[in-house]
Amino acid sequence: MALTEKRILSLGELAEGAQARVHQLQGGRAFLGRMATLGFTMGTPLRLLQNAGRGPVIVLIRDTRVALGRGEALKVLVTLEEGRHEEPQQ
Amino acid sequence: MKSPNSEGRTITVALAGQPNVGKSTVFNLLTGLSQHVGNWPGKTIEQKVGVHHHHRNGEDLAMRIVDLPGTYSLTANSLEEQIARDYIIKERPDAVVVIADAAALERNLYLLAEFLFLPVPVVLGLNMTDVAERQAIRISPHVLEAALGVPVVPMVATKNQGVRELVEAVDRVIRGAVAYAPSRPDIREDHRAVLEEIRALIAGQVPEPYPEEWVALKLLEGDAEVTRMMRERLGEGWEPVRTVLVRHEDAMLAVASGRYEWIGRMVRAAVTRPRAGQITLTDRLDRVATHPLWGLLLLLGMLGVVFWLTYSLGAPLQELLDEYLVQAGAERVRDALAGAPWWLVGVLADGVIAGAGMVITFLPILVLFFAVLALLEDVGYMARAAFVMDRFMHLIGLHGKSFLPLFLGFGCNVPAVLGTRIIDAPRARLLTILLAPLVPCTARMAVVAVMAPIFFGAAAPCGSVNLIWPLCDGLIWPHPHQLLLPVG
Repeated sequence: MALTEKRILSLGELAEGAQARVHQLQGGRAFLGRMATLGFTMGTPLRLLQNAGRGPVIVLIRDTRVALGRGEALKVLVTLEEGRHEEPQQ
Repeated sequence: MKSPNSEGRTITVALAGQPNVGKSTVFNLLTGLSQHVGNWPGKTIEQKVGVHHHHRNGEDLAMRIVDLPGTYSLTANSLEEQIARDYIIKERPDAVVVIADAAALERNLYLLAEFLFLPVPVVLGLNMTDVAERQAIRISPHVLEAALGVPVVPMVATKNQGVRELVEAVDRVIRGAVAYAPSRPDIREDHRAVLEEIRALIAGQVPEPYPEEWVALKLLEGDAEVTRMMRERLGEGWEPVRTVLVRHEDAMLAVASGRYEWIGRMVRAAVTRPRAGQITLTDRLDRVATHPLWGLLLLLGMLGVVFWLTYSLGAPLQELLDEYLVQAGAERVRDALAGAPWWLVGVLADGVIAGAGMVITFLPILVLFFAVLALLEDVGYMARAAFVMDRFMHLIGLHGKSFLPLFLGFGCNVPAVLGTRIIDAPRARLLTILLAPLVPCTARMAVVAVMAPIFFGAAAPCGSVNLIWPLCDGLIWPHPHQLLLPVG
């Protein structure tokens, strides 16, 4: 069922296969600059491809797979796309 | 206007692009064997320059092609980015060719968007259109060209398609045969007033040859290099600029968003893409290659294959070289110098030929090792390997990216240390540089194999593992300092 309110999570908390949009980047200037260059701008749709619960994650954003370290992934906040959320495996 | 070439003036064209868009392929096709590889002045980054001969109506036109380092943007986040933009601003080539991956067009246009603010005409080489087609992404180059106001040339560089057309487009732009009036991205609306404020504050103060608008944008983006330049230049006048910048710390996001919004408008009419959510072959391969367990096993298997290939093919070649080049050469020198003093024969036969020859015999192993690694890099596997290793590298205070240079060290430690350039964080880079020489290179491996039995007797395998493999200990004990003490 579609969720009624937008849920805000970090990329690290997103389940594999989930689709979301970039909500906010938390970090210093250098981090913001690098992520913006890579296409992590507000509202950009993305899909989480790989998240083992620890270690780095892989995100598909603007036609490219971007690998982010756990620390970086936790600094990217996203809003879950409604009705697109697949339950995590296991 | 500069008059093109007829009086022997050489035209210079810079080749730019993001990493992995086939830029090197284009460069090789254009320049063939006329390449000169060196370093950017004062930098440890490779510079490639070559000459392309373009035939225009029977006239030979020499184009000097300068290969800029692959960069995602032109903000001085890295040495590569700084080199690329300094070259454009200070050397003013006649044109810039931006090579883009048609299958990831939006991201690639980001770099183009940055070039449009620099005072050099740009031609867009839309490469890998075959890959895009296979993914059912359809791009209409004419529509894109009309939107951008920049010549767009579709290409498949790996099949040598479109390269000639690219050169012709560059030639037309340089001759002024086509109107060059690019559309340029604006900063996001809510920050337009801030940009104007900054422009007004720096007006007339920007040193040559920097474009004023570009400097204002870079200040808002927080570019360290431009900030330092303007701070020194403005002196007292810097304070008001600084105040505005501090108030708008998030301006870089507005600049980047503005560029991506512009890109969105540019591609809207020109590109049709399939519905999202299709599972591609890459997705399926990645399931295995980046899986925490299977990925690790695959990596171990891959490393096994790399070493097996290197040694099973390389070792016989090494023996052949030793027998027919080194030993036969030494023999011949001894025969030729039969009457010469003993020390001369010794220096030449045992010193020069046997010594230097020994180094040459390592060549097949090194060539094979690096060829296999280059192949893995090209198919994109090395990035997956770095991903899989990230967790383990974190245990010793490193980053997944450190794995690549360290692995390179198995071939030779020198490129391993050079390769640490890809690591962003200075601390992790230094640690990797310090660790790289501890990785046993192919030559050292051979020496250890001989020496270990002498010192350790029956325990030789164990002893050599501990001698040459302190890294393993580091993976087991997560304390960096233990790493630096070889356990013996």
